[in-house]
Amino acid sequence: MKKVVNLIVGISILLAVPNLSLAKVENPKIMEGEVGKYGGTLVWSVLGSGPKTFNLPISQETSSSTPLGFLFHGLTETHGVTTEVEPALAESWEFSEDGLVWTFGLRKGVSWFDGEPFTADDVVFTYNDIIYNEDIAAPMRDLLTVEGKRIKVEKVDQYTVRFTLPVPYAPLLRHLGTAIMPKHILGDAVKKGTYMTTWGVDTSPPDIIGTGPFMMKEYLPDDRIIFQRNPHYWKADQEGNQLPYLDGMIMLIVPSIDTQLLKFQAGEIDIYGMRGEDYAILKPKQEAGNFTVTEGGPTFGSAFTILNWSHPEPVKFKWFNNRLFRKALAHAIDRETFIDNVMYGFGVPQWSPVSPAVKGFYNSEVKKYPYDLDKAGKILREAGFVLEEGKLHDPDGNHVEFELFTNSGNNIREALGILLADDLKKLGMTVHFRPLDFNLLVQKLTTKPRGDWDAIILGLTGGVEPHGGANVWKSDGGLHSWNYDPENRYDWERRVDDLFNEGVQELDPQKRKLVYDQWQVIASEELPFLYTALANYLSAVRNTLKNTRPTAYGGTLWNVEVLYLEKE
Amino acid sequence: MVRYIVRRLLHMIPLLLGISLISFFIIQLAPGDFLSQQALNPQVSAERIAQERARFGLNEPTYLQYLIWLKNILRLDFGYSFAYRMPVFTLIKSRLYNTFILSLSAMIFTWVLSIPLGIISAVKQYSWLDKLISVFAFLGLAIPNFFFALLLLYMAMKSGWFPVGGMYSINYESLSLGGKIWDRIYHLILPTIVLGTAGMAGLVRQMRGNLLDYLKADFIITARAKGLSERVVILKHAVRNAANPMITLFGFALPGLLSGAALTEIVMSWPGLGRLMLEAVLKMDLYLVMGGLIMGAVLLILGNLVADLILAWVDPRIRYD
Repeated sequence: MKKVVNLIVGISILLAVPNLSLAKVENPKIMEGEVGKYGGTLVWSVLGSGPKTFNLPISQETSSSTPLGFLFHGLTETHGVTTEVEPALAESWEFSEDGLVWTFGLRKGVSWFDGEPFTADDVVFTYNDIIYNEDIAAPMRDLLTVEGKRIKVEKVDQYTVRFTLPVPYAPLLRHLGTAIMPKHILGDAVKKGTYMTTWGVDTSPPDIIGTGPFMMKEYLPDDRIIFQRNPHYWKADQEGNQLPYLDGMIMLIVPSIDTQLLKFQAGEIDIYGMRGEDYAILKPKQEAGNFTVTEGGPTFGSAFTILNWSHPEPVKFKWFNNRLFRKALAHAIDRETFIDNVMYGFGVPQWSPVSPAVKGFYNSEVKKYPYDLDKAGKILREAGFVLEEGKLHDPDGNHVEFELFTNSGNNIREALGILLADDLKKLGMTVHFRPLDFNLLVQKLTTKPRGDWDAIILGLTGGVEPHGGANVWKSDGGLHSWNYDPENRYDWERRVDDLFNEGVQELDPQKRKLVYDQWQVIASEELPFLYTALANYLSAVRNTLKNTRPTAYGGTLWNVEVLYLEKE
Repeated sequence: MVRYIVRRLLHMIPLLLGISLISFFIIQLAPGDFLSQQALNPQVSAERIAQERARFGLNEPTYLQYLIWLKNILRLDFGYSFAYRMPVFTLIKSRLYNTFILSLSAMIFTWVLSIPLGIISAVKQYSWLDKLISVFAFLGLAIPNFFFALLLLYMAMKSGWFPVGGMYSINYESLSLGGKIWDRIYHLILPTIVLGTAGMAGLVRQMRGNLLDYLKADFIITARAKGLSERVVILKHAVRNAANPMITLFGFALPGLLSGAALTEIVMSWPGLGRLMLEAVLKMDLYLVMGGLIMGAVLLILGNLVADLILAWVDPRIRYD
């Protein structure tokens, strides 16, 4: 009898444990989504290779940061649909009138995977001892260095941290989404100077301690990571039940996208990041395969053709610096055909450096250049270019001939290059299109003093924060690729510098938008980049996974805490 | 014999030195280095790239880098991978087993099938069976591995008879020991077929050609005249001689055990050494590439040595001093 009573008591305690950990958290974050069921393991895959490190602050590629993102949180996080900044490990904040002093109230009762409490010490440790540490190569440091100075991070009390900036910094809140690391685990390594080699991929996965929804149970090198639910997680659903719902996840590492597509169709994985060409295959199989294809809006970043305004040859220098020449080129890009043929219709033309996906900053009132070879020809004639026997000559009699590069291996860019070279030929130009090995391309771009290239088709990744393009758009930026010449600076470039300096310090979102709106208009007038087209976001998700809201920004797993499996 | 072995082992030293020197310089000749991929990333500052370059020692003159690498190798320190920030040796070790079982399985498949098929082809020369075997062998040779792998995966997806790539199932951990072994074999089937069939053509034709030569020899006529059964004549007398060149080929195949077939591993999601090395080369992860190259070179040299020794053991006419 006594044994039975003990057994009943024991089981009741075990069942109550999940909510016991939640009970410690004073203010669990409530997530949107319908109330779901516990249980199940989600199987998905990443394309490429396995993680290179388990140490998130020093990771440099998505192969590492994607899986680690499930283990850690920062002070803030970004909503996958609205892209707005929300509280995470910090539950509230306030800032001074001048925008220089930010005080964050941390969420009380949050524990690390090993049960130790999360406090202000961890926050101060992460920023002062890891990110700002000169001996540690942390990519975040550049983004958190304002006008060459660090931000002062101080502990006020157990659950309050103060950030003091040298000047107002609009991207601050978004960048504070960077992961917080446990001082009680990593403190020693920082002191001994061994941080850079700590938490490598040979570390036992359960030893990677964070505050995220999942912990790593096992890592089979280059094959899969097995995640397990965090029993101490501090988020809850609308009814107060502790999240996440899933027991665990398995992330398979699949190097070939063709194999990924086959695995999805075979039912081995439940999420697939689609390309335009997969639509025709997957859409008709939705019912039989029990999944849903979602078409989202455009993706982020930019795709463009860029000309070398610093060209060492005076003849080409004249063409590329001629605004009318560039405008004519912009009218010669057949974006619609490109989208239809190469992107299978899943794309939008791009006119601005900011993708239409960035709701807070996209300016649709920029100058657009629809495909019109006649107009292009007219503009060239206006500029003094002459068409003679099918060949275009500049006002000095030189035939317009140049090389167009891109990085080999990228089908989309290579297809665009062929299309563009062909269209420009119709205008009388001779364009030699050559895909080059990426490293070789980089070498040509970075050859001092004036580069070793004429025109390149490239793209840049981008996010929600326009200041992320500072390195590209500011005259002293490291990626100011079209114009290397410090003597050859245009007024509009100085104007853009001013706009960037103004925008980064403007905290009011409406005023900030106006600043960057002006930049986008200038960009569309002066055309340092001839924008092409952006792909649309496509995803395929098994119907057994509920509460999914796939977007270009967040993908499918941005709200993994509220995703649950339901067999039908 | 021992003196011979020692002499061969001593030859290894200048050979490895030469291989490593040439490889190192050729890698460095390619434009850019490991950090070039960061150059076009708007989030990375030029200062940080320079800092990393210095940390990795990539801004030193090439010959100095080589000497530093050589010094470390002599202490059996293969250096660190730039991408993983982990010792090269540990990295290679973690993938070694996976590639080994795949290569071993493919090798067994190839050899166990090729030898008998080669013998049959020779004995029944020009029959439809001979032609059929040749067609299959050449098909295996002609189809590119990655394409064949993709075709098989498509068949697996459609039929559901085989897993779509991978080395073990999702629920591998919860299987019994017997279940685990069967799971491994189940996943080995398709990649083995891909890799195994690729090597068959050469071996089948070689075996066939060698055997045909010997079947015309005088001592075979004598053996038949003595009244021995056809089976004994062919298998005991002819094949044993014809097998000599095959042993040499076998020695050459040994280093292949650990080199991995990168494209097949990529398509079949097999976490092996081939994939690791291909990525390392594309990224210019210098020490990882060198580590792999040296390992391959050592195995090649040892493999040749083993082949020569086996040959001496099998064929009494061959003796070294």
